[in-house]
Amino acid sequence: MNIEIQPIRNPDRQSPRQINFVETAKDIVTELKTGKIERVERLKSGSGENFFIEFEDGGKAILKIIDLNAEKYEKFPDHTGPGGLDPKKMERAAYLVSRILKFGSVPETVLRKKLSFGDNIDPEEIDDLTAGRDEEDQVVIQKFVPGKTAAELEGGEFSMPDELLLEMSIFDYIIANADRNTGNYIFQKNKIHTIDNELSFGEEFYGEIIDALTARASRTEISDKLRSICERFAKNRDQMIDKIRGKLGQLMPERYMNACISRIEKIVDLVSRHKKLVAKDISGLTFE
Amino acid sequence: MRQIKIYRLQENGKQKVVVLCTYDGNEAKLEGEKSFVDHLTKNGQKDRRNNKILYPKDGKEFFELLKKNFNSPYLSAVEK
Repeated sequence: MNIEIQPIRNPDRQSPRQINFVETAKDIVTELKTGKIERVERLKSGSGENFFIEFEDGGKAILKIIDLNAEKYEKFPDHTGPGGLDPKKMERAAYLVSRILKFGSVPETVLRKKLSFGDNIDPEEIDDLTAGRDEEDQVVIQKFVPGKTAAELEGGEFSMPDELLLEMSIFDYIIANADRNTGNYIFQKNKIHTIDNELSFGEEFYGEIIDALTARASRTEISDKLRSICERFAKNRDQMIDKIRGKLGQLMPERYMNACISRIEKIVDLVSRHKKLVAKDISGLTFE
Repeated sequence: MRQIKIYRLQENGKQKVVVLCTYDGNEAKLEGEKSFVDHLTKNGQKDRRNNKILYPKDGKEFFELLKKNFNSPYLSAVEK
């Protein structure tokens, strides 16, 4: 007997753009990597080319074309020098570390070459996005997250829960994020989303990362989430390191990847020994 | 008179001006969303070159720094 299964439709559905059927991280990544783009909106920007895009099924994302000649990269020799860290790849690497360790703070992020477009998109929008761009050039596509940046909240970051800020600082130490400011973390539904991670994994502004971690650690104890992240790593250390090597090895030179793994191990060790991190312990954290 | 607009990306993909900063040669003046303006006025912005916190009264330095500190797709400072 053949049974035909009919998809359940939402009777209130108004247009494909208004409903997002994508639910799992894997589905989101697939959509970002292969989905047909239905709408492109160029964003006014002081550096680089950024676009808001919408996929056929309604998923929303940010598409970034990174220009290494932009002023913002001037102070980042690790990211602009020969044999250094490619900012596009660092966006992806930060997402992978967040996913593997289960921080879950970086929105799904992919690198994509060929872009495909839906039937209903305005050809001018396609031109705006593709004119002058080599099809083989990779762009960064990251899931859009609604919410407000720390800069927009009354009281700035001080209006955010301390334990979430500490989690972010620990994550920033692990990925050596040299560019965390109040405009690039978003607070939404008791969660912090960390965006703009392209200037990670190098050694630039390392002192600032430690200063931020020290200040935030002084205000709160280690959260249960942070403790379980570290316990999971300690329990499955070899498999997790293999996984990180497998993923990050394709994105950055080995010495930067080794330094990242070393930072994870240092944090796991500290968290296993303390309820609260103090300045003395944090000052002993090295880049590699 | 120089002007910087800080744009916030909204859920519909459109950008909205949330703060307007003007610099008249002396002081930087801010207007726009109260919480954002209050944040910048009270907490200032950090200049990473020298770790100094700059406030609107610092004028040009504060004005120029907006473009460096707000350059994400979600929050972008653009001089007119």
